[in-house]
Amino acid sequence: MIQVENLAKKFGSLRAVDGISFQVERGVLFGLLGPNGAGKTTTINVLSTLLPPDEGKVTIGGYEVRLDPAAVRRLIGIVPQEIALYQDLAARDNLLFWGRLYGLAGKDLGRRVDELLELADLHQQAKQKVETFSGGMKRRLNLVAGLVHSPEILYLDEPTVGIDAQARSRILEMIRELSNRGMTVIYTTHYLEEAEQLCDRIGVIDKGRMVALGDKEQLIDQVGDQDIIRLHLPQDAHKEFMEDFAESTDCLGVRIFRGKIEVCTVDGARMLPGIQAWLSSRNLDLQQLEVERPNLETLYLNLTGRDLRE
Amino acid sequence: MNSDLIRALVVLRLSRILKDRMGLVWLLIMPMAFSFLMGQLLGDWGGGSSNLPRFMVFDLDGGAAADSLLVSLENNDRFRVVRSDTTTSETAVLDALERSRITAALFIPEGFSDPDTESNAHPLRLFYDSDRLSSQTVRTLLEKSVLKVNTLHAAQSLVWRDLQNPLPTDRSERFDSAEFEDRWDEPRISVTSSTLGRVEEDGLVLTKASQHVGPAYTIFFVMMFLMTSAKDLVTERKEGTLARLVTSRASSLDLVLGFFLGGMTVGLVQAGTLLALNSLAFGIDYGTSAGGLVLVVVLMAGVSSAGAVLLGSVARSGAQAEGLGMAVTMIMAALGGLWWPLEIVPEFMQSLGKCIPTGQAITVFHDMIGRGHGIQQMSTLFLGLGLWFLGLLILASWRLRKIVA
Repeated sequence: MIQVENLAKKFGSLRAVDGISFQVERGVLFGLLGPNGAGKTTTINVLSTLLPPDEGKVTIGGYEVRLDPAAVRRLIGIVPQEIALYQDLAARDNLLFWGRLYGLAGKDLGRRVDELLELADLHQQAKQKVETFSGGMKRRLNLVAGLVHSPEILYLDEPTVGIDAQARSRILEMIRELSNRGMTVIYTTHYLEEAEQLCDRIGVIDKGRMVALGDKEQLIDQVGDQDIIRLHLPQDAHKEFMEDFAESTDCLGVRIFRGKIEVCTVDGARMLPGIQAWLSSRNLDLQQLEVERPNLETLYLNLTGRDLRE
Repeated sequence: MNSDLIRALVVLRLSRILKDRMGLVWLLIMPMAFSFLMGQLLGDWGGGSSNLPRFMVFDLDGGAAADSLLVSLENNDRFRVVRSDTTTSETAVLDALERSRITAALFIPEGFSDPDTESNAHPLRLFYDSDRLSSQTVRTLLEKSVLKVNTLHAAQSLVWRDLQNPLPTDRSERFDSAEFEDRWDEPRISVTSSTLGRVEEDGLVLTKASQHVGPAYTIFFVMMFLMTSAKDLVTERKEGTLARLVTSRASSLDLVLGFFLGGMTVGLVQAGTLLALNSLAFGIDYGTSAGGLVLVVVLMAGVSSAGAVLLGSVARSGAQAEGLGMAVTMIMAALGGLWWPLEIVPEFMQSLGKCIPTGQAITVFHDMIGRGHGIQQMSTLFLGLGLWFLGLLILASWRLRKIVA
């Protein structure tokens, strides 16, 4: 359904997107995961025909974005990061307007707007101005405004930014529901838990480059069956700890990250007694300890040496 | 081009404005309030005769004809006619006029009422301050009164040559209309008038301040409302609605036309309503050229809307668009003579004013109201406005299409 080959986009000397490639099959919920400034929105803008690609080829539903943007636009719906709605109009009036812009009219338009208000759980607030809505309500309306013409493909650019956990959960439910109905979805986020929870396939993007691509299990397998143990120790003990444990057979690696010691091990539970003994022999108090199973953050960390939220 | 999409954009613009109460205040209420206040300041209304501009009369004659003229002059609601108790020199009167103590002065010369005086032997001498718009009424008022007195005199001198005695009851039998016509061709009283300060353009008769203020504030507020609404286009750019519009079925041409015609429709509704309200409330007669009136309103709304689209597509923030829109409108209003008639500014500034759309539009209104001109007589002004309109529209389209394409 979507094919991106060596896509590059420059802004002056900055290569915002630097030769990324991926493809998304029909009905798949594809996550584009990366920190702020990684190039996610630029990618979405090229896929939406809002920006022309500088290099590479992007084909949506068989139409190349550069050659036939009008045909591409008929297939896609976009939900921008901003609340792209008229705040001084009622929810219903907003949807009616966007429906007209997509050529809907009369009873069909009215019916479609009612369906969308129902989907967003905003039917009771249909006549209220958007400016009176909570952040979550605005996000839900923003999302359904991209669905008014029943697109085959939906682009969601960080649709949960700035809302509380409950509102986020409702939005994710809606997206999952759309995906279950067979819609192809591209979802950008810098929340790894959202990508893990929601997406069938994930592309990890960093500094304009695709650093990993696959389904969730494939990506985590790249990290391998490893646990991360994080310890908060007095700083003067760091060096000794690293020297002692670097040679341990269970330890795959040890480093200091953000003031904490991180030990990469094949089995965290097996290594913990040894750490405890080491601390006791030096009369050191353990200020904090956590054991983490491999996840996308571990992957991102391994691939880029940086935290996703940096 | 898809007319349904363009209509949807136009309807959106109108409905957003009509639902905004504050917007309505700026759209209609403020312009009418300004027209009323400025009209009052410039002399259209007053709280009584004491507030009216003073029209000082120096009657050096004291005869019956002078009395007739004074009675006729006093019967008006524009000026307070004050009979001077003392005789004075013309120099003293001119001095008073210069210091704005009085708006106009009329000298009725000695011998004015003498029935045997030849025409123009003792002409009335009128001095008035043309810097005050309302003072232009003086001349009209005096001419009307003179006309009455001339008519009376012609009739009286025909049927009964002694002005001191009352008219006979049975006038119809003794009235010879042919002889009246002959005498009317040579009116007994003539007027020489002098303006002080700047020279007034020939034939301009704006008898009320609101005849300038009404159209001027209509143009001003239409321009200001649309130019400051350029911030809405910036908001569309910044908040993603423009991106959503671009990815809809609308082509870049549809979007440019939708934004432009949306603004223009708002301008037309605003201008139409304000001109109608000014006509109803202040009795402004826009002349006989309906085509001219429609054309000037359409061109001015078009110029303002195209200017707003251009500004909205170049400004970096909503605040910048609003500030620039306000500044441009203020400068155009001042240079174009919306706050004061161009007739009172130096000649080179008049020429400059008539090169910009505000000056062209208000001059069209003056020409229609004060001179009764039609489209042909105002063709140069319309050509100027049309060029502004086309130039701005081309620039705005190029700039906005660059953004949305």
